[in-house]
Amino acid sequence: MPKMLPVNMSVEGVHVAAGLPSSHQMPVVPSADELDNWTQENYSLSVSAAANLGFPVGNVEGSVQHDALMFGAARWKDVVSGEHSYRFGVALRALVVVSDIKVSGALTLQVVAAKVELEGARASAQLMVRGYVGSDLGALLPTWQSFGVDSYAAVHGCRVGPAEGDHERCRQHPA
Amino acid sequence: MGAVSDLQKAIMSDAANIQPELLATTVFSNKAADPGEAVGSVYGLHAIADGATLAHALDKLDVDDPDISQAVKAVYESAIGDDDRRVPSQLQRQNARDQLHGFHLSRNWFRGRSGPDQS
Repeated sequence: MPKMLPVNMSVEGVHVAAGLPSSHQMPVVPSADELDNWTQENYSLSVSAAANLGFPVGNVEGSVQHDALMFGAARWKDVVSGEHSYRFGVALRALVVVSDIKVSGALTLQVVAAKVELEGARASAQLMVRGYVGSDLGALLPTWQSFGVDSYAAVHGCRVGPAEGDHERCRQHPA
Repeated sequence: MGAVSDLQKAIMSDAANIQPELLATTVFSNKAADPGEAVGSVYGLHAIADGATLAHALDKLDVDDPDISQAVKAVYESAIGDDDRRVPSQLQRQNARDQLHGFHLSRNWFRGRSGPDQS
């Protein structure tokens, strides 16, 4: 079964990147009302794969191993067109690019945050919103770029701030 | 700093401003690498790892397959630039070695009298 890969580009961009002819059958984009699936997304990619799929991974040093973790929430609907499937919808995605972190098991956000804080590993993060045209998100967007424990806490709905309640909330509701 | 969950709530519940975009597709998973491209990419990386210029790598290629030579040129252009006489730097050579993940050609193609790398 073909694997559904996340992308950060248009259908036209995908077709060009895949070397499909411009006459290739285009899928019909569903309306917002038709988005009847909700999921948490979670992908682990090499940085080069992420770049090829249109994700803004920036300039990374070639001599160091890089991985990209992408996760978030999406509301979507799959559309089959010809031999391919296309997932359309709205998504809030966080992309964490990790440099030279060696772990024996799966690379998870918890591990990344801990390695950054304790071992000086490097990771950067950015949020991406796709499929949303509202103009009032500015005040809600976090400003962090380096990824560590603070960022991890923000991602998981608790704040690491001066108020005792915030710390307590994080302890009581771990991810 | 606002929690990301607040952002998620604001976006997902605002149906009026949702305009569905492509999030994922199977298009790429169906695309197998063209054999000529694959061979050319490995050859090109190996040549860079060994310190050969593009001109030298193409001279030594001795295979009449445009897909292969195009892939070699593409690898060089991506890693080094479009100067076919430029010798790969140590970092570029190391990057190519990393990308090969230990795979290498069975013959030592790029070293010898006409090769730029005598080290």
